[in-house]
Amino acid sequence: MSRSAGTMLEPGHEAEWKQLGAEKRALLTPPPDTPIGELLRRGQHLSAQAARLLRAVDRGNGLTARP
Amino acid sequence: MGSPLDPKLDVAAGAMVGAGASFVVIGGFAVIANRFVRATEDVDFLVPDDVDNDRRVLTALRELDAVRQRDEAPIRDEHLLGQTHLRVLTSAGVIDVMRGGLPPLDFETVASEAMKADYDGLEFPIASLRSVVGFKRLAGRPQDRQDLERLEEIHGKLPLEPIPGLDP
Repeated sequence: MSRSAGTMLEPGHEAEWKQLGAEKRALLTPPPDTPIGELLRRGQHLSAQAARLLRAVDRGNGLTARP
Repeated sequence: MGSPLDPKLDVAAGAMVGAGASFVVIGGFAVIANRFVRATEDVDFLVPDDVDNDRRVLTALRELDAVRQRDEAPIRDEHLLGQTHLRVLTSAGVIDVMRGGLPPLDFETVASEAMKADYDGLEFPIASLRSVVGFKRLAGRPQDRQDLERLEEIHGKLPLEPIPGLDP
C-alpha cells in the first residue's frame, strides 16, 4: 500500500468541515420556486432510500427484515 | 422522473464494489443505518490512504459519469490522488470521498467495526454507531450535534472513544 495524502478526520479542520457543509447545503437546497410536486417527489425518494437501507442493514446483519 | 441530484446509495456502492475499491459508507446514510431516519441527500465514502485503491475509486466514479463538483470538470487522477477529500456529481447523486483519519477514525478501524448492508446480494460496509459518533463529534457542526442528540435518544448512552487532539 503506498500512502499519498493527509486527512480531514483529525482536529483542526473545523473550518473546512464548515465550508464543506455550507457548499453542500447550497448545492442541495431546492430553490424557493421549486414546485411542490417536485419537493414531494424528492421527499418520497429520500424516504424510499432510507427504508431500503434499513432493510438492507437488517439483512446484512442477520436480523429479520422489517416490513 | 428523478433529479440528477437524487442520491442512489446502492448504485454508488455497487460501482465501488464492481471496481474492487475498499470503502465504508459514512455520513447521513450511516446515521440512518444506525436507526435515526432522516433525509440525507448525498453519499459519503470513507477510503484508505492508498494510491492503488484510489485508482479503483476513480474507476468507480468514472463509471458513474462523475464530474468534480467545484468546476464540473471530468475527474482526473489528481483530483483524488494526494487529496484529503473529493466531491463529485454523478449519476448516483452527489458523492463525497473522504480519506481515513487517525485511530479510531482510521479506515482500518472503521472498516473492522462496520456493519454490512445487503441489497439483494450486493453487500457493502456501513459505519457502526461507534464510528458515526466519532465522526460526528469531530465535525461538530449543528447537524452533527443534532444527529448525536437523536442517536442518544434512540440508543441511550453513546459509545465514546477518545479522539486524539479532541479529548484529554
